[in-house]
Amino acid sequence: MTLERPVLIGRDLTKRYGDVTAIDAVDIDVWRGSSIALTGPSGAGKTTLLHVLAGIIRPDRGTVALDGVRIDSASDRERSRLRRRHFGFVFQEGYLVPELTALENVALPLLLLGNPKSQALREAQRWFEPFGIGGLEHRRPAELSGGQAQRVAIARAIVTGPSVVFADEPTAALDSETTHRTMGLLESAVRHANAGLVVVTHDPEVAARCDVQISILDGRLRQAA
Amino acid sequence: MKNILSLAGSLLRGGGRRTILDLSLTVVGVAIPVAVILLVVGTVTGFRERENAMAWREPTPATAEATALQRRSYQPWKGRRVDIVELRAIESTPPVPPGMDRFPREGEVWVSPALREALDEDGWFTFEQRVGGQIVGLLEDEALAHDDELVAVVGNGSLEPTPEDELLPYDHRHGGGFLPSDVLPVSEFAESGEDPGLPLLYMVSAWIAGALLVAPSISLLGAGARLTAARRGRRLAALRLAGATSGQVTALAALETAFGAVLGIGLGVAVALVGMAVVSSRIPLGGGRFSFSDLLPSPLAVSVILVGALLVAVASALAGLREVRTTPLGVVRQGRRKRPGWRRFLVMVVAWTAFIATIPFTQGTGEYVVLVAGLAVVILSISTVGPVFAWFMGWLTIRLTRGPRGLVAGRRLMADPIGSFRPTTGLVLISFVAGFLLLSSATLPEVSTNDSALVLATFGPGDRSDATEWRQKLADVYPQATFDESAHGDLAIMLPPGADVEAERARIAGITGTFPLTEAELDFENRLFTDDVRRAVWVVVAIALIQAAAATGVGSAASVLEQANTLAALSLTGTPTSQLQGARALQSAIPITVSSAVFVTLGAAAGGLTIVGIQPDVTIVVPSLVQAALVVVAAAVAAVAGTSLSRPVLQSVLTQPLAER
Repeated sequence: MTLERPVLIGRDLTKRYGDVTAIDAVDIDVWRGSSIALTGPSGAGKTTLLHVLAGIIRPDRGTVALDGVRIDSASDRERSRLRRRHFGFVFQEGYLVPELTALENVALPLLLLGNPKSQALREAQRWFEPFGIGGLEHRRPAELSGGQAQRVAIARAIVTGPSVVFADEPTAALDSETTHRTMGLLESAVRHANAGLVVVTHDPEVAARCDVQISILDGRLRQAA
Repeated sequence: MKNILSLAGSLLRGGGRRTILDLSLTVVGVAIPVAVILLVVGTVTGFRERENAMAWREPTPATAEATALQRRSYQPWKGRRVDIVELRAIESTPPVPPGMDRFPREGEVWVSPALREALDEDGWFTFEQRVGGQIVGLLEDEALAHDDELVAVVGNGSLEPTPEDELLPYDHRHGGGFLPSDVLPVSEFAESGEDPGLPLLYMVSAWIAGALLVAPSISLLGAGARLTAARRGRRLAALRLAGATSGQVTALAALETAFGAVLGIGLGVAVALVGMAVVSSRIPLGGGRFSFSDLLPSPLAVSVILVGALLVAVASALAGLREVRTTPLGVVRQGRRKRPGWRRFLVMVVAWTAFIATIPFTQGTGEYVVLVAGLAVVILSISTVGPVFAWFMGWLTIRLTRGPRGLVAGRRLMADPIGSFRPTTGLVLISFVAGFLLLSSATLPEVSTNDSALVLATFGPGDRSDATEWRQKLADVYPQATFDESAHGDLAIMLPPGADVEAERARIAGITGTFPLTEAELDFENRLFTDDVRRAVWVVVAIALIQAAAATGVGSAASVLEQANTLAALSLTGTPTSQLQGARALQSAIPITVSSAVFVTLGAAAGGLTIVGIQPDVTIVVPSLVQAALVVVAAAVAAVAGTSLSRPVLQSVLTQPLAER
């Protein structure tokens, strides 16, 4: 029998910017198929923790391991490669490439991984109907509503079959109805991909939807549920 | 207004690093074209100054009572040309020539410093014998167009005015050959005017080069002011949404652009002064180097250029604000992209039709300005049709490439063909310029460098009797010599190897009474002009390439700033910087490479038509494909190099935390 273990493990994570300690001795586990909400006031260290876990920045102290492999000590290039292959990202404003169509935006991570164009576009196409954005494939981001753009961004984050999806304030620019639909989509997509989900949010309703809620204050974990 | 000024100051001060970067791009975008325009106008001014400096040597018929007689001629000296001014006083108060402290007496010779240097010990004696006098003084700078000029002023007591019925029309000396002028009575020396020793082609060429460089400069000037228009537009749109009136937003944009443009103009003037110093110290044209002061345009011309640059910059920025004033919400959402219509092709067709129509007109009237204006219209039409090329190249790229770079580059070209083409306008124009110059310089006549034969020229067909007579006289002196009589009646005497050309020339002149020239000397004007055109081609191409590469870099940097958040987000997700930069390089290189090939061909066609307009009986020589291909490759390399200039800005954007942008 194989014992299940967290897909991403952070231990004793500490990051300072000058005299300010952004995160201080944080331990965190991310499990496949489950979601974690990181909440807290502005400047508490939520985004820094997300960036450390995703290998975007290196911690000053502590370790991050993806499926048992240390990523905190890997080179910039190697960490970029890991992010492309194993992580998905959803940002507050989507940050889709404005010149590409919705379909091409979703296919972009596959192209960056070296997949042939026709295959990448075919693979990307599969996500449009289930995400409720069928028929919008050839529109540009400027021609999409905020909710539609965020669905495209979620499809882009999930299309490579990532191990973990990081979402930084994914619903901050959306109304409550759209927030509800977008979060539902994000959760089901992550479950379907059997990935872990880490969400940074100010919204208590969004946090309440996650399996685990972690509050951060002055860089330290204050509460876990 | 005070509030607007205060708000503009706050926006500039409080904008932080991004505003400084925006401002820097506008400054550079304005500085480059201002420097180029000043340099072009400076060069044209330099030629005019040179003409004026030489004007006193051409005899001008006396308007008052004549006090002197004057003749001008050119004489060869070891392959170079000496400008000889012969003078004779016929009254007690003749005018004092420029650069001398008195009128020359009979037998006195004044020479320029460069001529004195060119005369060695033997040469000094030979030259004095030839001009019939003794060197007694050196000409000062006021007598010279440039330091390398060979000039001699000779006091010749035997001058007699040319009889009225033998006077030649002034035009016969155009082309600057060795035919002497008439002897004319003069009362003063001219201070300005055209000079037959400076071929008209120089002025025409300077204006053409000017049109080729200034037209893209004006286009880039506007582009420089619009570089960061989209981001500024969003900021000002936010003010508009907050209640600012249309007039207030316009005033803010004008102030902000004017501030950057004034800094850019200052930088442009500094760069132009450095450029003038380089041109005056390193690049000989028309037989010598310009002096720095000759290249300085008049204060009026400088004022017109600088104020014009400021107005174009502000007008371009305000034109980009139209959407902010009318639909601010649309600007905030970045919802609009312009797609070029096929009607733009019509503009090009009309421009070419107008240009071709100027050719018979120019041939009929000799008004080259009309031809140059037609050429300028064709050049300006390139920036109109360019975006259509960019859009088409984007469409083609998406279909032909497989990787993400090609996809992103192609989509960017299709999404914003006007913005994509704008920074590369200069490079496409240089392709046109290069095609133009390649053909026109290839079509220049072959020049002879043969200095082993002395030719006795009969100055016109039908003078065969002279040639026969000379041949008989010389046969006794040169029993071993070979004689060659040309179809025009000129007689060439082949000199033995190692012969002293000047000594033999003097000997032959003594026997025949006519001054022989080597083939190289007969081709002096052509050789000078051909060498100058080839040198000028390099200078013009180099300036245009630098201008275009810098404009591509500035435009690319502006585009990075416009899309900072998206680029940063892509980088966070693991997209390598090389992919992001590669897409930018492709975005510039693809339209450039294809458009260059097209516009090299069109430029060559325009060059051919221009030459036909100036000289209808010329045989057009098609330049080699290798040269044309080199231009296309150079343009593509400059595009990629220009884009790579934006790499530090991209790195800066990617290393800044997303929240701070």
